[in-house]
Amino acid sequence: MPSSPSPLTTPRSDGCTLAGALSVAAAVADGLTVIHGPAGCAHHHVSLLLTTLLDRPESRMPCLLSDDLGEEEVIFGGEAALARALDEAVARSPGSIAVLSTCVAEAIGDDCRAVASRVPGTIPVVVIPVGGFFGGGFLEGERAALHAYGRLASRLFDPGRGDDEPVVVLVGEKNLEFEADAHADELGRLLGHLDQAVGLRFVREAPTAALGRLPGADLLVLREPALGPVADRLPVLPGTPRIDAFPVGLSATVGFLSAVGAALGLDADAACEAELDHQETVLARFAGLAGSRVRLPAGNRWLAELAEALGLVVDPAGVPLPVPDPAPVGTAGIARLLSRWRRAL
Amino acid sequence: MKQVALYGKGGIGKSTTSANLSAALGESGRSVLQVGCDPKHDSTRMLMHGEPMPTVLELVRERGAASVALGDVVRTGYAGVRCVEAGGPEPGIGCAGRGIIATFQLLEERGALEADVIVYDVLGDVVCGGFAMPMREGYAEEVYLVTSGELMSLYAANNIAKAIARLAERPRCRCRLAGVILNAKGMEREEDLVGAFAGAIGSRLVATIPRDRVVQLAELHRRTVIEYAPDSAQAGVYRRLAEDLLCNTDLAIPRPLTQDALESLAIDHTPL
Repeated sequence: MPSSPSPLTTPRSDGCTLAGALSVAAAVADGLTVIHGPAGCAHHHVSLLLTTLLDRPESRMPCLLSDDLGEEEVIFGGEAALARALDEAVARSPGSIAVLSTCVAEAIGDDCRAVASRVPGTIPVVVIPVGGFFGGGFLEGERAALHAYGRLASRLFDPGRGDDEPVVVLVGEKNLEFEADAHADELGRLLGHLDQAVGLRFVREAPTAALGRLPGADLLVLREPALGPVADRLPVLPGTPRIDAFPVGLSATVGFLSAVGAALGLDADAACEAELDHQETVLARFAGLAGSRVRLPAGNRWLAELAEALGLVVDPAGVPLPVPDPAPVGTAGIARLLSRWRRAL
Repeated sequence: MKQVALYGKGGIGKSTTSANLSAALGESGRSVLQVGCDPKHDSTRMLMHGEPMPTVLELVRERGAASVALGDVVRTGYAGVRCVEAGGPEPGIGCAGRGIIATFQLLEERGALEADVIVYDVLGDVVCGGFAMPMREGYAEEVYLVTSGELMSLYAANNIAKAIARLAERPRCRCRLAGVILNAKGMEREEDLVGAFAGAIGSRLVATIPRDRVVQLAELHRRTVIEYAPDSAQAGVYRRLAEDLLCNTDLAIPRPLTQDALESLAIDHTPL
């Protein structure tokens, strides 16, 4: 779902595992996702994805295929229907095929892995062990998908290929988030200070073959600290450096550059200076906000730091300012936030 | 119309008892429908002299529900007993419980569930909501528990009593326990034990079917005992059960036992 500007954002964890897994699987650029369940389950999620993508006309519509289970399959088992859907999926020659299960298929005990193992040919099939509401909610589904694509990445890895440049991998972007691409662009801009680039978005708009770069990662940048257990199981070399979250706040953004430099053995002093200069320029555009009396959520360090840098007066009786959830990433995120604050004031 | 259902542990003799009961009722001039509700679809085999029965779900799968006519799934067997087999998925796949629900919906839509007596022969235990459906939806108004004196058989019967008690709490549910049928294994004091069990759960022992070789012989000849050995004592037992069943108005909401109470009962009635 898009990140709502309202503080009443619906908790993401309330969705089902299918929704979470699909948010990852549908983001494989050349992938096709087979949803093993009633057509309604696929319809529901197509609607969700379509709504999410409406504001991004450049985005492609994910390729989803339902095996359309009906009462007959519920009674006699749905494995044959899944096998037929996989045949159809193979005929479309995608880069990879993901198989996701639903509540009813899980309830009747269909064995998706066994069916998928019989698919002939060279197209990788990724069975993501989810089953609708069974096994948790959105986050569990999302993480199960990242695990599954991690296993695929290790199969696709070519150790002889080697990358000339260090490979920086973004892990676990929130694909239904409205600003997901803006956040990745911002990290790309920051890495540019160090003459680095995002080598792989795991998993967002990466073609299947590119996933094979994961095991050769030189640095993992996790979307949020909660992805730590996922990163622990990714097929990367032991000791591969890791940054636990996308940077939020002025000093954290500069700190991100220091952390990248340390991880890749680069001198980040000049990069940090350049970013500090950039932040000064951004803050100068909003100098008119200084002295405004504002109300902000308490106990939030990056907000307090930002208020101080802008010269805002934090006052419980002040004008309430919107703070998006998830928080804005990098200096660019802060610039977008300040534009909204200026409108509110 | 009487609608009775026989429930009990798998292999306890529900289908044999059901078929002989239906045969006895059919012989007495009543119109009888027997519905086999087990994916094994062997409930009506003796009534049909071993003739393979097309199952409701098999035909639904082949043709689609809309193309299945009543005549396709209802066959007439010994003594005019009309026979239906629900069928179901292969072992280990799909959901047989949902199959039972789909079968009843189809039979209801086709107007098949009409007779003086309908006998439902249901899978060994109420393993899921699908197998409780005949009770829940008012098809099985009078439930008979078929059991031997073996502890596991009593345990299954007690579980079914739990299902009846739970369903009976629902305002529109007419399902009640009509009695316990002992299909004897020949254990010492078996009738005492099962009679005590029936009393303990708030019901009564309505019949004791002794162990008799004629049952095996009849099955080998693909006949009910009523047809194969009509003058045998065993046939007499089934006929008496049929008459008792027609007159039985002693319907109860059972009081299922705890596991400990059930085991104590078994110990108290088992010679050591």
